[in-house]
Amino acid sequence: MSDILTVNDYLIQERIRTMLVPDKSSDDLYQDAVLAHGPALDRLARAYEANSEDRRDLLQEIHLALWRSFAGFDARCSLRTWVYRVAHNTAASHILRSRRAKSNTLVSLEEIEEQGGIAAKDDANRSLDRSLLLERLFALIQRLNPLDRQVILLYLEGMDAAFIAEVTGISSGYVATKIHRVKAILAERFRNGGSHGQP
Amino acid sequence: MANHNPHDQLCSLWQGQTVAPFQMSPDELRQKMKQLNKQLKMRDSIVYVICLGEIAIFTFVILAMPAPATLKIGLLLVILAMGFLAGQIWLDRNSRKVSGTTAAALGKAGSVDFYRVELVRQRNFHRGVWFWSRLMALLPGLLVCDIWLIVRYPRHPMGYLGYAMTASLLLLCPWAVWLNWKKSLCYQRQIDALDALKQVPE
Repeated sequence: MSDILTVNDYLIQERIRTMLVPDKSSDDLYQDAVLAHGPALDRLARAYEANSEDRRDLLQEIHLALWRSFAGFDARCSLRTWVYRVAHNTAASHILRSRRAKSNTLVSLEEIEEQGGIAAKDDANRSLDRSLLLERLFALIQRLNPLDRQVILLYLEGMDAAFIAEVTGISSGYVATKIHRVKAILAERFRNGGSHGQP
Repeated sequence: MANHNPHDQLCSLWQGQTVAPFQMSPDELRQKMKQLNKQLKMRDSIVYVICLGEIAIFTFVILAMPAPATLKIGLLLVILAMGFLAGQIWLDRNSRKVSGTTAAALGKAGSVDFYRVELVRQRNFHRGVWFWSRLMALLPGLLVCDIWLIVRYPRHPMGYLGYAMTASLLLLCPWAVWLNWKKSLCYQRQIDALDALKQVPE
């Protein structure tokens, strides 16, 4: 079988696409998106802004961007991919604009991994409660550059490498390497935390 | 997509955070959108009013006041620079509307591409033609006006003001150029890292 699409195949695919989004307005798509991914958007905003007012502003910015973006939603990707792309791109843009973030030096996962040993020793024999674990997780995430932050957040949301690659635009092989690093960093930094961390 | 690490308690902890449901009604969204557009228009208007106001005042001084030729030349150069700045801001706003961060672009671009566009924009702001041309446009007019002050009012507070302003311009400009150049290099490094990332094979 040839992989080349015939005009007919293409028309069928386009038809399927339009059937998948049957004339939904931006309002309807927005409501669907919030219903399915609202809590993840909230957690994303928390990961970017520690201050509750700034977090609310960012969350509103994400919701507004999402609603506006649906005017151009053509179902070439899934609704979930679209929602995560809009949310993460809005948040990355927010970081670039933020004066506080500009004054802090954001680092990569690789740099954090290099510094890993020191922090791990502090926690080696301590068990951490849930809130402290989350606090430390937020502190770790907020030090990361936008792209690595996205990878770790999507990983924590339970997404696989293929989906993370689709959202970020990095090759899935490289995402897998990044996830490996994320796991190593989390394992080292939160060695004992997990046993007390059951929700 | 299910969590592929069911035993990973950090993922469970992360996903188990209590979140207050947040949703904006269509009316709220439209209202917010209106507010945002209003703010953007207001911000643009302030810049245009400043530029046009200065152009109007300086044109009045040149045409209606008995000012010496040196000062008139200086003011004329400032007027041209202000017109140039207003034009650049207008072009920048328009180009952003066409290609940059439209709402749909947020969902169509992967994070790497989107982030790269943002970084390139920031880098160009600090290094590119925008930054240099703004500085070079404003500098000659201001220097001519300062020199006029020095020549016209020797050993007078106004003359000293001219000296101070010339010295500040001559000191601050290289410093500003150096700072912006450094900043642009920082953005360039991030852009290079993203480009390298895109070349990693599957």
